Amino acid sequence: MSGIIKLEELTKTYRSFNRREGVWGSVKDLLHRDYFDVKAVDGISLDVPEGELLGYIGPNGAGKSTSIKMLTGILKPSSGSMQVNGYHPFRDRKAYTRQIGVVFGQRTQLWWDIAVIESFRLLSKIYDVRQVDFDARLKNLSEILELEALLRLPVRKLSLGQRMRCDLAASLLHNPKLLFLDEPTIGLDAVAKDSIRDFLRAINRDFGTTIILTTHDLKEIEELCQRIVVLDKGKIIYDGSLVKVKAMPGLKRSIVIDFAGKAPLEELSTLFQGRAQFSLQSERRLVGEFAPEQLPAAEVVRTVLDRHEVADLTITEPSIEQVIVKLYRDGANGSRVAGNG
Amino acid sequence: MAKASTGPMSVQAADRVDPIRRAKSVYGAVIRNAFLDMLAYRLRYFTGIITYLLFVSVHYFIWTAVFAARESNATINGFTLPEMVTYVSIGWIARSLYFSNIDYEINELVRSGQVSVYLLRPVNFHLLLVAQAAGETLFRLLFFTVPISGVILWLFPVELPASLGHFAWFLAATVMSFLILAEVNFITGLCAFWFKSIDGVMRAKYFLVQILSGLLLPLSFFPGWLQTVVELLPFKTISYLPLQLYLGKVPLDEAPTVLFEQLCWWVALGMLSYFVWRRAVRVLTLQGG
Repeated sequence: MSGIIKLEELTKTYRSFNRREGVWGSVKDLLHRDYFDVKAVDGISLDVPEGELLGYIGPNGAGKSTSIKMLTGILKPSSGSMQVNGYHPFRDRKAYTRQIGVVFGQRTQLWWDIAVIESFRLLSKIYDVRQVDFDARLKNLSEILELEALLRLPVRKLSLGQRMRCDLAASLLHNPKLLFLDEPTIGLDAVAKDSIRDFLRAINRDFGTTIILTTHDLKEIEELCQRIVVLDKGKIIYDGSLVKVKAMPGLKRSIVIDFAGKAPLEELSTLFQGRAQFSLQSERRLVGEFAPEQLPAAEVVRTVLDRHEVADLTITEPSIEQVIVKLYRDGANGSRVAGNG
Repeated sequence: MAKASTGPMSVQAADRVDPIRRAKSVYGAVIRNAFLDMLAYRLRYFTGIITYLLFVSVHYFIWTAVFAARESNATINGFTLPEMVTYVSIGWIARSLYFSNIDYEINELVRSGQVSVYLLRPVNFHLLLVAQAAGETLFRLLFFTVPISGVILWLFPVELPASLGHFAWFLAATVMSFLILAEVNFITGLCAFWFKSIDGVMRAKYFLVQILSGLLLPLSFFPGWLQTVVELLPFKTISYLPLQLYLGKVPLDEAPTVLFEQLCWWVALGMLSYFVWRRAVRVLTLQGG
């Protein structure tokens, strides 16, 4: 399947200048500026097949927003080539906007003081959606997103979660092939987050909408995305499956053991010298960390169970937070982590 | 144009739509929404009514004082007292119709970054804002202009229009005033793409329009050199010329010339708007929101 998004060496350079200090410095700035270039996005290449749900992550200032802006056609790339659904997002902006839906978590595309349904109607006119299609989609969307009760309310009376549901529906009324979501669950409570996640999964699965999801919520990425692209300092430092990245060397599993009696901290520390680190959490509870490639989980469990009476035991895979932190650290050393998934 | 999409949510991609019909439907809906939007704030207009009344009263008292020392049918710079009172009253009533907030609107959109939402849609930003302003004007017509006219006409000795024909031309000219001021405001608002704060620019424009349009004082009261300057600017077509039509100071057969002058300014400013907008988009798309 050929990619719906194809980026090659996409780069965005902002021109900036050093501000000199003080009043005299400002005056000098007026006459002569000491310009330098900042690469916000530094040669990213990406191929996204149709129907994928891609997690796009990175710390603040990594270039996420800049690349999303280029992908949605509102920012002109400095160099590199890009093609999305057969269009060049920037050059063909007007035609291209009909193919995409965009939701910014912190902005709304709805009119503030009028009923949600009025905004929907206007959007359907803007996108030339036929009445029959509009009715069908609205019915469908309000069922999944439970909008029925909200449609008659003005946006200002909606809670953040309700507003986000309406915004999601608004971005899908013209049935876009691609959906760009920038922090769609920012500030939402757990229940609201959950319903939005379910919804995204459903439209991706049922309608084959390609979704590019930017978020800081790594749990969300973990639950939704098969593939992640990690950005740091304008470069892609990881592109591949989530499962693979979790098997990356250097990541640690954690273990929590509740003993029937007193926790044998010293004994276990000596036994697994250098391969696992343990610490005491309470009198009967030990917590430890170990790297799977150095120490198989089975060995830990067997050893502990053979020697002591254990009330309970849990092993946790490396968390995605850990994975990301490690990726950033490795990325900072200049190596791109190979991901071929 | 949209390719056929296969999402089960869709039935079919939209047909090719006649652009004029589409524009009517889209911008008609914008006008309607803006009208509804304003409805949420109808109370705000009660304070506006008091402000307008205050303005007109102050002018009324100033002019009666100025004329008090003169003979009953004296003229100053071609205006008798009843004409002067009419000029001020009708001038403010008309202002409640042609007035728009487009500059503030753009400034807010740029500052909040919301402007990029408009670029993400197949819609003409310029037309959209003018349509929105038109919706607001329709709202004001009902909830502001009608009550304020009632109060002003009841309190002050305002003369009737010179003739029915003059009144018709005056109404047409006021529609043009709206369109011309909308362009002025659009261009003013676009400055926000270049400057961190355009509060000063907007305030300067506000006073410039009030003075140079002749809203505060008929242009014939201006010193000669300023009259020459004002002659070369579009602002006089916003308030002064339409009022000259109302008062019958422009003969009926010259009325089309006034409308034509307005039309020319509208086209010229519209072209400038388009040009500045293109540059603004470039700034935005090169430097980010």
